[in-house]
Amino acid sequence: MSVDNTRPWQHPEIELSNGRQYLIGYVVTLALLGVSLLLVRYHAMSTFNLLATISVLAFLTTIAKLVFLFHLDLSETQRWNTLTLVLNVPLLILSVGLTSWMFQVLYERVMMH
Amino acid sequence: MNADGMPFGRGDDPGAGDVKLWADLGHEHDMMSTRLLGFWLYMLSDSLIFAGLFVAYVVLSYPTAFAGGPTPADVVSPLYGYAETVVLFTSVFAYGMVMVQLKHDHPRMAMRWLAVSFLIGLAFIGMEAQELNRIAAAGELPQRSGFLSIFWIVIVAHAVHLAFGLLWMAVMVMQIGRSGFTQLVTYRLANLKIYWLYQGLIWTFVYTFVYLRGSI
Repeated sequence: MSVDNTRPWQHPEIELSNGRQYLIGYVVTLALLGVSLLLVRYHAMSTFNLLATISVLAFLTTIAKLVFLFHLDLSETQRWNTLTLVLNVPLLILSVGLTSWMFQVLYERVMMH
Repeated sequence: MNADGMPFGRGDDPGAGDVKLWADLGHEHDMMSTRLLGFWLYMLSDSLIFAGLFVAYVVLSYPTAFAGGPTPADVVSPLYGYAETVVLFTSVFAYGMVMVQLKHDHPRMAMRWLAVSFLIGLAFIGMEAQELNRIAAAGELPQRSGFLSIFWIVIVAHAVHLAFGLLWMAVMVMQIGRSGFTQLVTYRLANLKIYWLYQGLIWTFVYTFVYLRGSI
C-alpha cells in the first residue's frame, strides 16, 4: 500500500482515532464491569450463575474495547489485526480451558478435600 | 481496445506521457502498517503470558492451595478494585485523546494529554501499591501459600507492564517535544496506544477473575 510519509498523522491507522468512540468505549466498559460489581456485591444469583454472568460481562467488555478502542473490523486497514486476533483466540481457549478442566478433574478425583 | 479486450497491446504506443514507473515523491513503502502489525502480534503473544498466569491462578485457587491461610475473599476488595478500574480506564481514555490530537496534528495538545494519561496511570500504580502494602501488612505475603504466590505474581506482572508503559509515555513526551510528529514518533505513539489499551483489556480479566470471582 502506498502512503504519504510526509504527513504520517494522516496514515489510515491514525485516521481511525475518534474521540466520540473512545468516550463510548469508556462509558460502556465501566458500565458493564459496574453491573458485574453490583451482581457480586449483592450476591444476586447462585454462585454458578454469578460466575457465568460475570464471565459473559467480561466477554462483552472485551468486545466493546476491541470495537470502540482498538477499532477492529474487516476494513482493508484493520483486517490483518482482526484476523491475527481471531487466530490467537483458540490458543487462549486451549491453554486456559484445557488446563482448568484437567486440574478440576484431578482435584475431584485425587486430592483430599 | 485490441482483440484481447485490453486497452493496448504489446506493440502499441502506451502513450509515454501518461506512464509513471514509480509513485510521486513522499509516497513510499508503508513502514508504519508493517511495524504496527508486528507490534500487535507481540501484544497477542503477551496475552499468552497472561493466559499462563491466569491458568496458574485457577489451579492455585483450590482450597488445598490456601494452605490454611487466607482465601481470595480475604485479600481482595471488589469495590476498591472497581475504583482502580475507573482510574485505569480513565488513563486509557486520556491516551485515546492523545491519538485524536495526533490525528489533528496538534503536538502541544498531544503532550498535555500524554501528561494527563501518565499522571492517572501513576495514580493507578499508587493505588495498587497501597493495596499490596495493606495485604503485606496483614502478613499475607507470597511465601504464605501457593494461592498468595500467584495472586502477587498476577497483580505485580500487570503493574510492571503499566510501569513500562509510563516510562514509554515519558520518553514519547520528550520525543514529540524534540522532533514533532515525524513518521518514527507517529508509529511509536500508535504502538504505545496498542500497548496501553491492551493493559486496560488485561485488567478487565484481572478484575473479573481475581477481584470479583474471588469474592463470590
